[in-house]
Amino acid sequence: MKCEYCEIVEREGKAPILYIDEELVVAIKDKVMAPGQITIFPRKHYTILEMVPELLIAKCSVVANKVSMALFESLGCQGTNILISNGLASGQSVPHFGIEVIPRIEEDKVGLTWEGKQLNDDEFEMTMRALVEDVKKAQAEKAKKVEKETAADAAAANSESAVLGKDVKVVDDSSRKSGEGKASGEAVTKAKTKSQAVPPLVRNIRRIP
Amino acid sequence: MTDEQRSAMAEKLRSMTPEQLAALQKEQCIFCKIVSGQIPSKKIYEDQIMIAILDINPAARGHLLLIPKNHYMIMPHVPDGEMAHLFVVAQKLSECVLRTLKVGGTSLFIANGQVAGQRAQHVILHVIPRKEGDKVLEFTDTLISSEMVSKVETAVKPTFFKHLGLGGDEPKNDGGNSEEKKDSGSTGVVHAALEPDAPHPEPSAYKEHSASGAVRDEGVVKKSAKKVVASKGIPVVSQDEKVVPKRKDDDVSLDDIANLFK
Ligand SMILES: [Zn+2]
Ligand SMILES: [Zn+2]
Repeated sequence: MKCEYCEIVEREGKAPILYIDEELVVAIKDKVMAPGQITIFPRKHYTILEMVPELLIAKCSVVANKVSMALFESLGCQGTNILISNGLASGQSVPHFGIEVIPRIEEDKVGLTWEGKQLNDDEFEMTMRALVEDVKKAQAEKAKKVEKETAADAAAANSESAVLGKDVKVVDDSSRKSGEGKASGEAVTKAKTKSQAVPPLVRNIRRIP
Repeated sequence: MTDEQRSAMAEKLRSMTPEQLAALQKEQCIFCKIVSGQIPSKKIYEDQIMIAILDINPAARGHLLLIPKNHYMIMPHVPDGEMAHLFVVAQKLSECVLRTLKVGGTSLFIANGQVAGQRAQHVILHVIPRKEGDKVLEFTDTLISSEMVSKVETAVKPTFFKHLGLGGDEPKNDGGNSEEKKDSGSTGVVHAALEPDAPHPEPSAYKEHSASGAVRDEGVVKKSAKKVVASKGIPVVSQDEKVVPKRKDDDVSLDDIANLFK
């Protein structure tokens, strides 16, 4: 079975594309929770959230906020929802990661609610401990990875042309922090200055030719 | 609160400057108190920009709230960098949730505005562990006509492009004084868009914020809501695909979750 979102990119007229660049697509599907709903998805096929590169997640989320603002102004809706359904169990119906932006008006019957549950203290404690531990593990892994990448960046910067010529990897400062102190060398500094000069996230936005 | 107290309060609020109002809101905000530690919480992650805590009244065990440390009442106030940061962290936390709680999926959710289900006066990104048939965040997809689709396209495109910083002209995005653009690019665009009618909008203030767009005049949003009802019975997409192979609870991996689609 062909992926519905990949088909939107490949087959003209499958669904109107509001915006497309090398990385992401903003389209209007005809199967929606409410008219005016807009879908943002990476141009490349990633099945679930966890497979999408960080920078792409970042860009998708920023664009989602802008779509949301546009819905307020152009449709006069009174609210919006941002929804990522991740995995079949969550109701994800297209096997291609995407963000839905749904315009909301009073009594629109869109749903998207839940009934809050009461958990006892033990359940909370257990859940918290398990998650905290796993998050710490993930953070440690991340720090290691960043360290490696920083070293690689430094090497690449030393070989001069490669990095400075094209788009330096724009790195979310905050997710980088852990590795930052370890970087050294003039070339790295140079590369960094360059990357800071590039506006984050929206650097590649271009209109459809 | 009695009516009298309420109108007295409203009067008082009207007499305040926007700065005072913002300070008052922040002062009263439960989530700012959670961030500052005045109200205890079950924190599972923290960095300079945000914290993640367990929801005390969760949709499911392990329901996380990602809260920006800065007080933003509504989503449009959140600067690009922080928005991006929230989602990148959410991706990581979602992975932790999948791994640790052995669930079949997660939902990332933001309610922006009261009608959208926003209860707190502070932007929150929910990460909710999901299980088949859990009755969380239920929705129904409905087929809309191609005319409706193109109406939406016509109405939304210009404002969307404006927010992207793409006017009628080719974007001047490459080279040049990008330093300056960085400033105006991230928060500037957002605020410029809101300032004209709503310097400090509350969720409800958006009602008045509706621009003069063609669609608005036709009331497409309301009308179409009726249309949806009229054409009900179109199958829910997600229900066609309920060929979920039964798995043992403890051997969930990301690949398994992705492979369910094949
Ligand atoms: Zn695809
Ligand atoms: Zn707050």
